Amino acid sequence: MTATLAPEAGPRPVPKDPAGSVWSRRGRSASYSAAALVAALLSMLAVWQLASVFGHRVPSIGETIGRLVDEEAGGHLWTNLALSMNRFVLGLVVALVVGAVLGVLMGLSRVADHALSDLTMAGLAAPAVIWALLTTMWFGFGWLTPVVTVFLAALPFVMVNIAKAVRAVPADLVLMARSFGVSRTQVLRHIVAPAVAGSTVAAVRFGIMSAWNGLLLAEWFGSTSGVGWRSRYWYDANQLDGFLAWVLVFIVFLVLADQVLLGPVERFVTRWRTA
Amino acid sequence: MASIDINGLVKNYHDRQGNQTRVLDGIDLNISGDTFVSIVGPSGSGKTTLLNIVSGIETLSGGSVSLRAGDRDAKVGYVFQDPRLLPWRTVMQNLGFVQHERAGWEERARHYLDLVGLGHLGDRFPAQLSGGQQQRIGIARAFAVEPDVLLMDEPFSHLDAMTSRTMREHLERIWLESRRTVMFVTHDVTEAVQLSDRIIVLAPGGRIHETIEVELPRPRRSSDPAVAVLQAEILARFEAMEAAA
Repeated sequence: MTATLAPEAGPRPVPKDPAGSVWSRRGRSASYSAAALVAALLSMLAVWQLASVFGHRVPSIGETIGRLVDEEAGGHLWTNLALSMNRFVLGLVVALVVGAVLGVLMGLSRVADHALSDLTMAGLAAPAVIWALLTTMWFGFGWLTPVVTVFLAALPFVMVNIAKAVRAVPADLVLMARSFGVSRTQVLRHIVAPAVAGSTVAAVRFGIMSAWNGLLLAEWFGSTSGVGWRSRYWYDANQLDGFLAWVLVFIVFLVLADQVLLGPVERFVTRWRTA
Repeated sequence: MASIDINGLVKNYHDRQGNQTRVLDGIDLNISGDTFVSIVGPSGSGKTTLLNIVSGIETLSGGSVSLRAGDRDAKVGYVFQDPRLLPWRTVMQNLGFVQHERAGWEERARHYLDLVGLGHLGDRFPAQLSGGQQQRIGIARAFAVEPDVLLMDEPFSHLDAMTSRTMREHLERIWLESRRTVMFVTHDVTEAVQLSDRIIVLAPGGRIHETIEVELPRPRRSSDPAVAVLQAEILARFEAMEAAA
């Protein structure tokens, strides 16, 4: 009779230099992402250029960029962008704070969840243009219109994602910590915060997208300054290159916020999943 | 010297209709000194509930539970059925977390990781380890807090037979090196006989059916004839208990 002695199942295969391999894997993944982004950008620009050659009333890339340079020279670009950013950050910060509090309440209390879930669903379903029109009628032409629109557009996304995150905090880990006498502060810091981090980043991401849409619409209908107002200025003047130049600013902001700010934060807080 | 004193312990659960179910019914138990006590019994006899009440995770409905180490409250370490490691922290950080990172925690963590044979995996995340290794980390974590009382809830029930046997040997060796008061819940009679000084048999309904003293020399192996004889005897008593119920 022959017998083979098998050792206990070992660790999952990890190359000899785990740190090096993790970094090289991350480096490779980052390279693929950058390549995909560049490819998408080049394709978009190619389609745009083709459309301007063969299409009807589509300004070329050169004309659009030229208009943007003119806007900068005339002092419109940075002034309006700064005003919009100011309103955007103010409305978004308030939405994140209020949304986090209400989201935690919904996650912890069944009563709060029942009371707020239908309202939140209605908020998610309502297009940003509804908030922009309503706030314009409520507050007229002033700073409050875009700020409140940003707040209302972002709030339901923040609430839903935070509530989901709080419900997903692993109760067995909290019980484990309790059995070892770990303090509440440490539980919050080392169990609750990491458990909700991924969904919080998702909340901020959706909040930014929805809020930026809301801001542009609010400035379009109810403001005399900002990115949205400047887009409308060129739309009313029937100048497509000016209109597209500001649409470009709108898109570049969203891509930068996602790729430069939120992407690295998300990778950092979820690094243990891919280690 | 640590001690666990349980007097007249009662635990009731209430369902939504207000119906009451008694899962522990008047448990009296005293464990003192560096004794390894196993709690065995059929499913639903209240083994895990008893352990959770002793650890403070669950409340009791009646009676009293006291864990003392001399003139102070005893420090408790807990090994769960599943490892319950924080997935976002490395092995070393997991051991530091339950020690509140107090002075010398790294030294203690390394010592107990070495004892379970995993000293070289301190910088790995739990997801990079096998199930058996994660459970060994759970055992090292419980020992690393240097508890007066160690509570273990079927810690090897999710493992295959080979790994489970190796883990029992690891546990007995560590326990012999750093004697503690241990309360060990299991449904595996072989495990109880191999590891325990005393076996408490719980009957359905949450009452103590019988207490068995195990006076076999250590270290023990599951293949030892004396272990097999005692195991067969206890299983026969189990069958008699179930037949009577």
